[in-house]
Amino acid sequence: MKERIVFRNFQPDVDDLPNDGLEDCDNVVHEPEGYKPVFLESTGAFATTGALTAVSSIVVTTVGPNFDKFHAWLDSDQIKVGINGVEITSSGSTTVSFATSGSNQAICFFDAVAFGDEIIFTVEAQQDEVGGTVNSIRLTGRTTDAALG
Amino acid sequence: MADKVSGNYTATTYAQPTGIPDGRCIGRINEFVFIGAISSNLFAVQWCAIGDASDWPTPATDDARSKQAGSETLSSDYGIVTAIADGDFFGYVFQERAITKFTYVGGDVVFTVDVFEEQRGCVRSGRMVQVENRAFFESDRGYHMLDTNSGQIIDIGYGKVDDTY
Repeated sequence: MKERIVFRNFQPDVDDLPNDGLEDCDNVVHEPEGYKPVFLESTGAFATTGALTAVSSIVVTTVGPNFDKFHAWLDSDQIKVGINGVEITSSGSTTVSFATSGSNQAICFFDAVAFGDEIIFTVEAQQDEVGGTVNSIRLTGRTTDAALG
Repeated sequence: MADKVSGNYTATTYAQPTGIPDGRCIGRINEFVFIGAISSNLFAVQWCAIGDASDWPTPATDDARSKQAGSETLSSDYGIVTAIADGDFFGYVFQERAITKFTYVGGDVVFTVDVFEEQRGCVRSGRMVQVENRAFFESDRGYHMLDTNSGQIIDIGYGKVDDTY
């Protein structure tokens, strides 16, 4: 049986007294109408859609008035970027990828900003290589045909 | 640069403009795109030609001066650049232990640069988020909110989560 739990406002950053809100709130998910219990899925799998089919590391930020999702991810040692799950490719067909595979590959730094119709982004990925060295690859770019519609 | 107020973004291609630096954070101040913690100098920011994010002249050249493009190396005493808060007239560049205000003045100076806060900074890239005129960030002391209009910083985690730092 599903049951919605209604508590007072979550105010952990307000002093203890006076504080008419909750200071501790565990194992619930905050929603606009209140809180619902955390539901832990014990089985099942996530589906992959569109360009996001071979992801070893992914980060996302929002851009624009409708908070579109701008992603950067690692796919087979290569940095890729996209909007709302659709990959954006280099107009020069250049790729930025690790020369050899290492361990602990991850997108470590990522940021994007809307600039009129354009989106400017910067990505850095790192991996550990044999011998304990850390190898970085970087991609900074600007969308060339972005549009708000 | 035309301001847009509604709609969803679509795009299929990107380019890497000549001269654009690699960096770890990015923001928009006035009509300029700023890139911070550039790979050649993690204490520096570099910005593009006015109103043109496809044009990144080499700083301190005649071409850069004519387009108000430039760069600024901040004090290494405050750590590397970690975040940039956007603004129409001025913006804020966060280092690990400081915040610097960039105010657009135009001309040959382009931006005045004032260290605004010398204790609290953004501890790491990705630990600042901006919602309109409020920038929420994590320092090595806890959580704070910067009102980018007034310049006031509020310690929103004081007495609570900040006690765990």
